[in-house]
Amino acid sequence: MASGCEILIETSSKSIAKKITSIAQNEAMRIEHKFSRYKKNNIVYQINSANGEKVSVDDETARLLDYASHCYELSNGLFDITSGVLREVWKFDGSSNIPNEKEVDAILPRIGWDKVNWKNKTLKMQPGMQIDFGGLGKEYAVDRTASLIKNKYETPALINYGGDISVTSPRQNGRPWEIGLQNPDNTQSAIAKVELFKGGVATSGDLNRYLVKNNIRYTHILNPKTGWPIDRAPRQVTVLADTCIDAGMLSTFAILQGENAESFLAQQNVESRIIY
Amino acid sequence: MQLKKSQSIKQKLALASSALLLATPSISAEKKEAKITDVDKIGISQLYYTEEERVTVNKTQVLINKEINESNLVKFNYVYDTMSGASPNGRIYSVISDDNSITYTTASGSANTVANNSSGEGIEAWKTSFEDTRKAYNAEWEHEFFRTFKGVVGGGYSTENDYESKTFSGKFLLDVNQRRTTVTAGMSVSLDTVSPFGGVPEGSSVLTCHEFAAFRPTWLECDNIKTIFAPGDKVVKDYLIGVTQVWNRRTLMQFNFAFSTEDGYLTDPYKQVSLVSSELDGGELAVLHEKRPDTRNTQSLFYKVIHVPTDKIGLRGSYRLYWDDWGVIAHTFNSHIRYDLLSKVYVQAHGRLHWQGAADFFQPYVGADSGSLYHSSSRPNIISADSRLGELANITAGIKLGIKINKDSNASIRIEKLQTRYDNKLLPQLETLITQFNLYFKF
Repeated sequence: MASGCEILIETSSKSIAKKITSIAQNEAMRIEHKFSRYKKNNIVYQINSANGEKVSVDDETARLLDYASHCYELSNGLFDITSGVLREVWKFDGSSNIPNEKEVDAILPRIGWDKVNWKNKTLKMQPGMQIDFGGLGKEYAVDRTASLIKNKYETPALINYGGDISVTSPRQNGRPWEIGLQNPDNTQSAIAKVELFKGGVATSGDLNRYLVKNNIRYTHILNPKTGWPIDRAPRQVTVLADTCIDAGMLSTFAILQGENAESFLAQQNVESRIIY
Repeated sequence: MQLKKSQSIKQKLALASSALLLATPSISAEKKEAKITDVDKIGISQLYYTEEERVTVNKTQVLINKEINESNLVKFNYVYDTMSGASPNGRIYSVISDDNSITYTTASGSANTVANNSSGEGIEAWKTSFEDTRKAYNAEWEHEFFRTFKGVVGGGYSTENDYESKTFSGKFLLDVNQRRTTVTAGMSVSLDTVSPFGGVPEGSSVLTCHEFAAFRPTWLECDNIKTIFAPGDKVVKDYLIGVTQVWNRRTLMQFNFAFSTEDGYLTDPYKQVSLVSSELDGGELAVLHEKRPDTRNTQSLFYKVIHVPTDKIGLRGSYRLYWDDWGVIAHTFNSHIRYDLLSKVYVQAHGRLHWQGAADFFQPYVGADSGSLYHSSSRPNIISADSRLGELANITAGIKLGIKINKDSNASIRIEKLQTRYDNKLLPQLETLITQFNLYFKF
């Protein structure tokens, strides 16, 4: 998952705790193996190296692609799982290595979910295009894990994969789970407190993943239409929703709105926090 | 870069994710189920409070909460308020004035106030314009020893024209029973000094005598009125033990027992007692300063229930039983019903019933003639005519409208009618309209 994975279980039974932990571990590993773009011989690798050929996918991959397709529609093309190829020119390492316009423009023809032929569990993509579930995989793993645990145990548990969180139920005492919201300026401290009875919370932002040139901070959240970072994007957006993946999408959509992030979230009527 | 149909994106995402996660879509994302609150808070509140023809308070408050780390939280609080108005001072005007009013003293003493009151010049004299200001500073440090055990220590300082108070407090909070039960034990000590212009008068000494009174009780020394002034110090120690119980997700109960000891100058330097003579048709022969005992021990039991039957309605009810060794006993019932009209607007109805019995040494006046009511054949040792120590009943009914301006700021307006009935028939029944306006901004 390229981040810390944590699971909190509220039980006095060591054996239940062990069983729940192994459910979580197995599911996280399974999803990582299946959908990581860094692994070979998984479905993502197969799609990305198909070189213009049709690829048939299994049910779960189809559901993820459907979901990504919905997100593309709902964000009016701003959330696009084919935009990962921009990483070839954008290296978000805190440096000042900004690509030039020609480099970026050369990449753009290889981006666009609308250019992908996706129907009947079959996907056909132009050569050179790639898909990447990085924008939703972690949240998906969190929700899947939470639901597997919930189906088997009544024990309250909190699943946290790199700051994307889902809870299975309120705490045993009926109170909410209390989660600190990290201060982007001082990662040792919390800037706010999240209280969660159910559902999930996700934070999107550019903590440690940005470029600075001429005092302009370039966020790692890129506009797939222009190939350039979103203008005046908030540094961090946290959203609470019924699932972690919804929370993650809403926070990403908000950042993609740039300076309109706040009014976007207000329209959605979700509990959220924006840090500029 | 406008997103499509923003309003329904949340619902559409929820449908899409339920297909992805093979789950039943949840119908509403209940916003109340989750919230984000600030750890570091700076708040400013402005409150305007007025009791019709009596007291007006303008209060500005600044609050700062700073979380140092996970187990240490520091809070600072600064209050600045101005107060103006009048409150009963214990003397009887009803007998000699036409309009049956009682006399008033001002909120707390400036030189003007005392001089005008003591001259007994009538109603206008005590209406001298007046303003007192109070500044209060509080700091609190909250430390979590472990997840279920917390300690809080605090200190406070407040000052007015004629009053100074220093407070030190400490308490422990222990969560037990899977954190459904919180046990609290705490104490505080406050060192107070009242120093009206010139100092505090000696208790039960003579303030003024009627010039033409032919008959005077032998104990009344009018020829050589000598008021002794000194600052009045007192020490108050409060102790509290309490239990808060989470009954279920919608119900919470709280039970407290509190007791306190007060030592020192407990007399109110602005309260007086009339010496009444039939020779003056029941008018004032003289005016004495009141005098209270120099110790007081109080106890109270308090029970409160908070119940939230639905997401839109909140109910709060409480009862307090109070008693002390001055002979005062009091019962207070308080209730609030809150209803969310809209997501950002609520109304709250408030009802309060309060009854208290008189202190042993309370008497509305002293009778100069032998055989008269409240007659005293010697200078009274302990005496007060302060209506707040007499038998009384209060009924309060009111309504409050609150508006959430944005996430962290709110405004409210409260209107209440307070009716006070005194057992003492010399005191008129009071009807007071209370209005309060409150604004709170947080950064």
